[in-house]
Amino acid sequence: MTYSTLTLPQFPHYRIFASLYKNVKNHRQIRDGIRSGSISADFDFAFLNAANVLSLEQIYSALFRCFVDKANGKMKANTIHTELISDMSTVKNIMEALTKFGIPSKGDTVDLVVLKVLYSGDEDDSGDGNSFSPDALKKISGQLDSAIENDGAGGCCLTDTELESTADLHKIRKNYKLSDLFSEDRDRLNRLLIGTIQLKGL
Amino acid sequence: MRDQIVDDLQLRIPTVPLRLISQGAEALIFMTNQHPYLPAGVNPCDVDNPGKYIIKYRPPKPYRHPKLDKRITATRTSSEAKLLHKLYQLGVKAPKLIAIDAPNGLIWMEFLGYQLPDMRYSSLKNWLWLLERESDRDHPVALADNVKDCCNGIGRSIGVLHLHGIVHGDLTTSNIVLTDEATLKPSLIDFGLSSYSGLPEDRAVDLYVLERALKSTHPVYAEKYWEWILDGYHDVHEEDGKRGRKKYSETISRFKEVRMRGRKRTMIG
Repeated sequence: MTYSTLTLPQFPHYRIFASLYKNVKNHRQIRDGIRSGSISADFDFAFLNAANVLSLEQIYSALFRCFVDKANGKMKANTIHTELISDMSTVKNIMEALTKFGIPSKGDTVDLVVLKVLYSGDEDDSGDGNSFSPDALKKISGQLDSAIENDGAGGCCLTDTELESTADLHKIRKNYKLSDLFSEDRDRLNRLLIGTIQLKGL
Repeated sequence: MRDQIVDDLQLRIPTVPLRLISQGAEALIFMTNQHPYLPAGVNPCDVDNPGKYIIKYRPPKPYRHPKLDKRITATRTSSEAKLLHKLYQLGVKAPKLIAIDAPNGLIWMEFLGYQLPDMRYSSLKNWLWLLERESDRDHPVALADNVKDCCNGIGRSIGVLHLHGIVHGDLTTSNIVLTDEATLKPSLIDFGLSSYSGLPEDRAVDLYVLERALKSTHPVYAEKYWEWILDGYHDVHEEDGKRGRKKYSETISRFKEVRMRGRKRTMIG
């Protein structure tokens, strides 16, 4: 049970729980549970297919986009976590974004990036009680560890080094519709993704 | 008025230290050491000068209807940001896009440039002025090979832009900067007036504006600088093949016309 906490300089009242679960086996069960609504309401996360994630900077960039849109009243999805998945994607249609960038339906095992937006201090404007505290983080991590089956490995810290092993450049090329623009150079690819995320829908 | 605008922006992004460095008709340019979404210690990859970022802010215009104003600001902000991303895709040296908040008229981008030996910012204008001060009859350093290479590079950049149907719209010697002290690699900045255009007229005006800017800020050597810029501009069209050559001759013949008559068309009829 390891995780990271992300903060954005410009949005100091958000704390983001972040963890990477590798070799997840019961992804279909989680996916179906979320889709049918049979999973309990407090099981509220943004699950991302780690294959599409190249870097932490890409995740930060999507978080920024998400918080800016929220502050401007321009959110397209109903919840911040769905909005976040949609902000990682290139597609306008939210269902399509969930299919391509959320929990994948194929594969025996998959790698998942799990994010949860928490509110620190008295700025909890969520109304859903997702306040930040060290205990809350531990509870979230425990909740995920028991729900996600990956041979007891649990989550690991979300770092660029870890993401390097889980990113799938072919998937990124396809899902971000890069075709000719695609570059094997990770730094260049990263900037292309960030630009795409920032400019989506504009 | 200006202080009020700066205060309003500071209230909107209280955690970001702002230093006003330039003001145009439409936007204010700030420098900050705070990345909009990366915490201290995490550097963005593939960015010149990490730890220095430019914020371009288009404040609301009080004389416009608020609803219309919001829309105009959002459109102009996002089209400039899109253009920066496009230039990155094309491999043209220009500030890289970092973040955008279109409804509020904010763009974060990479800071390009460095400090010249005379402590000034490395715009083409400041650099040439410095060299011109150091030049004398025996050592015309302002006409050295590195200046020639730099001018060629500028011409090539403008050429690539034009070949892709983009016009800069405000080519002056302060909107061209040197990005690296060692290589003197030039970059164009400020794409606030840029647009897509397939018209030889617009490309010709782009060139004409720069020629005029050179002549007025660097009267002694302008002719040489301009010749070198045009060489680069020509070469990059030549390398593009038949289409490029055709575009080049269209632009240049139009450029000669524009030179005769000035930037604005006559208003007869």
